Amino acid sequence: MRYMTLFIISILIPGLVIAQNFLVDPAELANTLDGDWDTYSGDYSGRRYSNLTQVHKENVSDLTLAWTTEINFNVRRGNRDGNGIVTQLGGEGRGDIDIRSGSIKGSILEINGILYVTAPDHVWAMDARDGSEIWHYHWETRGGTHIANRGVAIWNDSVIFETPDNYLVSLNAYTGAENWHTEIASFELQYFSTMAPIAIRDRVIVGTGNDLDQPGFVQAFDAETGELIWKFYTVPMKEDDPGIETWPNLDAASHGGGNAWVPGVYDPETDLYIFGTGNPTPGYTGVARPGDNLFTCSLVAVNVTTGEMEWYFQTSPHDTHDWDSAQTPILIDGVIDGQPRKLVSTAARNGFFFTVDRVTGEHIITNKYSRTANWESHVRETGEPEPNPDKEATIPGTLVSPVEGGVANWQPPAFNPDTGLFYTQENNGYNMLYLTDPDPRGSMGLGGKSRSEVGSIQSAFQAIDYRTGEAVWRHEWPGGGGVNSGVLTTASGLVFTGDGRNNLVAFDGSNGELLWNTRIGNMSNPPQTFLVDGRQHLLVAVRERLFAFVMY
Amino acid sequence: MKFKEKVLKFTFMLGCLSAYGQDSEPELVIANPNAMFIQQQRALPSAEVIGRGDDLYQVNCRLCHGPDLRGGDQGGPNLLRSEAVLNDIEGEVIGVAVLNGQGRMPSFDNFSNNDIAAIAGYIHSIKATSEGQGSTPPVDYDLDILVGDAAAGERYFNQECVGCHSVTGDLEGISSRIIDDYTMQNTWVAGGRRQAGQGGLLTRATVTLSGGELVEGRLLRYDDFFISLRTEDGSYRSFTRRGDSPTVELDDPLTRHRELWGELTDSNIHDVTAYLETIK
Repeated sequence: MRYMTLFIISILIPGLVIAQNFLVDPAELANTLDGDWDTYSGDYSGRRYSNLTQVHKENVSDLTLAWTTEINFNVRRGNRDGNGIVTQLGGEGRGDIDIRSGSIKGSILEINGILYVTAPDHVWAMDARDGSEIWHYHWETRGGTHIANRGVAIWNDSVIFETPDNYLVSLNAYTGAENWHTEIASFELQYFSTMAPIAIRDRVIVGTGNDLDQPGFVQAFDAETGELIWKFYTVPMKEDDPGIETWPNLDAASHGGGNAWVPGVYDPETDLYIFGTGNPTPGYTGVARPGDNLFTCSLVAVNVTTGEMEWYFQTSPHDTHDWDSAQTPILIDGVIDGQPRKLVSTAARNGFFFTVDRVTGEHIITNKYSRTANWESHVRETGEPEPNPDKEATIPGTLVSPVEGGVANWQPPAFNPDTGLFYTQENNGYNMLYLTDPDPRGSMGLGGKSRSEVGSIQSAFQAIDYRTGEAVWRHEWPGGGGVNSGVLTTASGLVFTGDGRNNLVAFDGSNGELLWNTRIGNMSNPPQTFLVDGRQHLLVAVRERLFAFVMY
Repeated sequence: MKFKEKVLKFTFMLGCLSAYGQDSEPELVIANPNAMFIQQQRALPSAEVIGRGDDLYQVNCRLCHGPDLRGGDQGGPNLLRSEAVLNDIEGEVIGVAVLNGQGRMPSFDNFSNNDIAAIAGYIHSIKATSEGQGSTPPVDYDLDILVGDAAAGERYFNQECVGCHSVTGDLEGISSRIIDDYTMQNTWVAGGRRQAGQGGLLTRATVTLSGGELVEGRLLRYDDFFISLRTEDGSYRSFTRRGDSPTVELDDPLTRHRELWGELTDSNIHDVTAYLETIK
């Protein structure tokens, strides 16, 4: 109640917001996930493990649809009596580009009964009780690649998000009024920005995407003012930068990609932001970039205070299949050989699972979690899968698994500390891959190839032991077709995900028994849970439609 | 190599966007499809100016930057991804490099502002033809994927495929029916043009109900909770599933193809394709 009152007061008199009662105090983000969902993964760990237990194995089948609604892209300019939503407009575009790019592909933050929902160029605040709209902000774009938006960060009383044309925008969380916006990457160089910013102390960490052979980077911006604090490039940009020896020359390195477009995780103890980097570029023609191409397709740990890299582990040396390794990793406080260890695990798009010491970057295990991936010749003693050059695109064609989208992708996995299991989809398929541009200089971007998917083969859901990378249980999804839903797990031992066949499902996380399903369509974002009025809700999006389930 | 210059081709339709690196689902609806990138939004100078820029480029720039702007034998960088080109509008950035030189590039201080604007206009006219996802402007190569040994392909076929297929039966005249070599190879590896995937058309299902009744037919949809099929008499049947009840047996004619994907070498594939191309 207190928050609701505060909320109403602050709408009436914005100046009255009391400094000590921020909507989200960044210091609280270090807590584990319970009543509110206040950062991309719910908390910093990436586990997507909720402490909530109202919904459990015995009653999950009693989940009830509380409400469903579609997001409203329309720009609304108000009516005579002043009622209704008035869209707040921002942006550096001319307002003549109408990109109504649909799906909700981000995490939806939930604070004190208010949802913060995004699609490219749009943010909505909605009432978690019934899905009604509270405010709408629309960014008038300059254009660019409108593929997704992964959600907002909430810092103090600000909602901070990225736009496809590369602005970081801060809004008043109560009203949707713009505080400031700042350019975070070059539109001319064809960057596009989708990542949910991650608020840490006084700053937000942001990443961007690019398909035109431009270098990847992660930046920290002052959350109050939008000023740049540091910028970390994921590829060498100077002759003496680390990793330069894994590229033929600086021109190749500084056009080498490695974009960080999915939120990473944060370890407050070591002050490390740990994230995955995307594929090297040109994506499919590695001929002009012999070498491992550091730090593309890598797990990278950057000190949040300084922006300096502390360690890296490359999960896919010299990738030539557009298998970004940008997926969100998970921090695990585990036990290896009887010793407590601070770990980070990741299930990569290339079909391999890795566990690494998150303090030092020391490699612990590598295991192939795909049953079909056929692109590697062996695993190096140091843990990196070695690419088999025969499985690159060739003129007469190669049969390659996985498909371009990978065994997993940006859709986040989950980890349950009670079961000790890492839950991920396993999307198996093959494609024929042809080189269509045999130029010895290599192609550009993701060009120079053609693909034909020949078929999918028994996709599955896995519960992986982080210590071995082996599946403790594995559920094969019946029928053909891929699956790429994100995952949620809870302290009551449940695992929620999608089955790729239009069902939202709940598993018993300990043994893979299916406990519940509802056929609402394939989810376009990962499932999330939080409390509203003391009751546990489950929220998912199917493209433009939200579904909120509740346990009464 | 033939570099084909194309006029602005505004074909950023769904298919082109279907695999933007991050995702694989097409879903964008773009009212102004040519406005994706700033280099495709800007007005170009007249054809006459671009033509003059082309002439100047070929004489002065081509040796280092290549006939297609993608870098040349003399080590000049690829202009299609160059920061100077991407940031330039009408020669104001490119001109600085041209007049002053840059790195190993000598200065060309004899060029007038009009010359520079023409060269920039030419470069931008090429850049504007780039396709999605950072690709180069389209290049036509004459590529031959038929590198396999047809005799080896025939041996493989007779060993692995004749259980289900025959070149005088279902595959008779196959290379006359499928003209394109890529389509031929993709089609036979996949096991036909119709995939027995979700809602597969080819898979047959037998459902055994608790009372022992058998329901057989063509599989329509199948997941952990549901199965539907079309029986011989054309009627539609569907059943709720929980665990293994009711029992479902599937006969997927592509099972062997799915197994093959894990066994086939790329040489096998090329050989069999070469063999099938002889079946006219």
